[in-house]
Amino acid sequence: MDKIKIIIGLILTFILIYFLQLYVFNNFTIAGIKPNMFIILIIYIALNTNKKYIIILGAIYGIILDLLINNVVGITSLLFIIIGIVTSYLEKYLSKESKLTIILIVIGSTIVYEFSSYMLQAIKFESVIEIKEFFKRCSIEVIYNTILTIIIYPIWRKTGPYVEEKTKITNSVTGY
Amino acid sequence: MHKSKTTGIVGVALTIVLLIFLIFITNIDIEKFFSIENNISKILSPVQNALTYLKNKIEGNDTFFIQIDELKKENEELKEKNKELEESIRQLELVKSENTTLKEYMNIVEKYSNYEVIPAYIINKDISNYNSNIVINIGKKDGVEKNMPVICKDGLVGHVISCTEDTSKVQVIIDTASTVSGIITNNREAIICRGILEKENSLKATFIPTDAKLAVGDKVETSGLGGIYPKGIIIGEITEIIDTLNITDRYAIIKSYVDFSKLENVGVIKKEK
Repeated sequence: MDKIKIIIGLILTFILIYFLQLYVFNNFTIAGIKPNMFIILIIYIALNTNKKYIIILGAIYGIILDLLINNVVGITSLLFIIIGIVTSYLEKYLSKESKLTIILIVIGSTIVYEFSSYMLQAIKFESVIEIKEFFKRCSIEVIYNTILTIIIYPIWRKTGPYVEEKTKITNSVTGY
Repeated sequence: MHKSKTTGIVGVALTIVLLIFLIFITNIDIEKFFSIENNISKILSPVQNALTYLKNKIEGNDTFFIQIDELKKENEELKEKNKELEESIRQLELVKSENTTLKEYMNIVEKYSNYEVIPAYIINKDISNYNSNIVINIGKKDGVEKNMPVICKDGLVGHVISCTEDTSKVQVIIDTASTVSGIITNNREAIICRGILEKENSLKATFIPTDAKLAVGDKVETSGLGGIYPKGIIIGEITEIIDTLNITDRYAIIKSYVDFSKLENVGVIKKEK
């Protein structure tokens, strides 16, 4: 029952973020650049749930976004799943209780996601590759994502342990 | 007794004398007493004015309470009327906005009278920082199909990349994945226009023939090659020419006439009439 509540919560969060991106962040930009809160959501899922959730939710989110807006279906799903899996792998080596760690993960994930997405689209459509302009936009996006992470961190701290408790599979070895 | 009788007579006499004196005085030309009157008036008039003001105030107050009810009633009526007028203004604003939209549609249809144009408006914009796709409110049931060109009153917008029953996704010409075959109207030289990130609402003109003469301000329109965009739809004008060491690599920046950040109403070209 709790797991269902959490899944519904994560889906509603996705919908909320979609409308925020569309109607709020389209108008509240920094130098014309919008944030990408979907990356923050994927990192949240990666750090607080297990691989099953990352793959299923990452795929669903990505496909929906590609169908709604993008040219090619699949790139976003693939990148979300990769970011999610890598983040969950890195969790073992990092202290996720630290705000700084989460910020660094957000920064790294934003750069990896946007660079990969841009290059894949450029290769597919033989577009003009503008590295300088890309890095300028990506830097601003990273800053914006970081600011948003700091703002929502209290919610993250409050809900993260609950979600983790209900969704993570723990292997406990009992011995006599 | 004797004293009171005498006092009485003296008093009466004095009064009579005073009255006679007064009669005598007031028969004299009053202007001779002007300076005395003036000085007395100067002393008394502020006091008189203050007392008169107070009197009027007190006299007026008894009507104050009667009038306040009438004023309250009037205020309520005016508030009601104000509400009705505000509602009328709101409705007129709506009608005005609708009128502007319809005029824009008419402009598009008239400008491209050679084509059958289906009017539409934008319902969704891309949330990415690197793409500029849009979604419009018409789809298959309105006769829209994939690869149909999309225009607005200012020029070329893009083409349909996918459609559902009710909506269509449009790749705009300034999107980095977009390529448009164009010609420079002055010299009819063919070029390829690609969307770029560097400058807002701009495209990059590439594959410029080595002997082509370009100038800032030259207009660019669609060439009709490629099978998607019909010939003659205006794209924009050249704002910058960048010469490179190798002349085959030179390129130009074309500023689209369409302001994509403010774009609302578009038309989908169904077919040529």
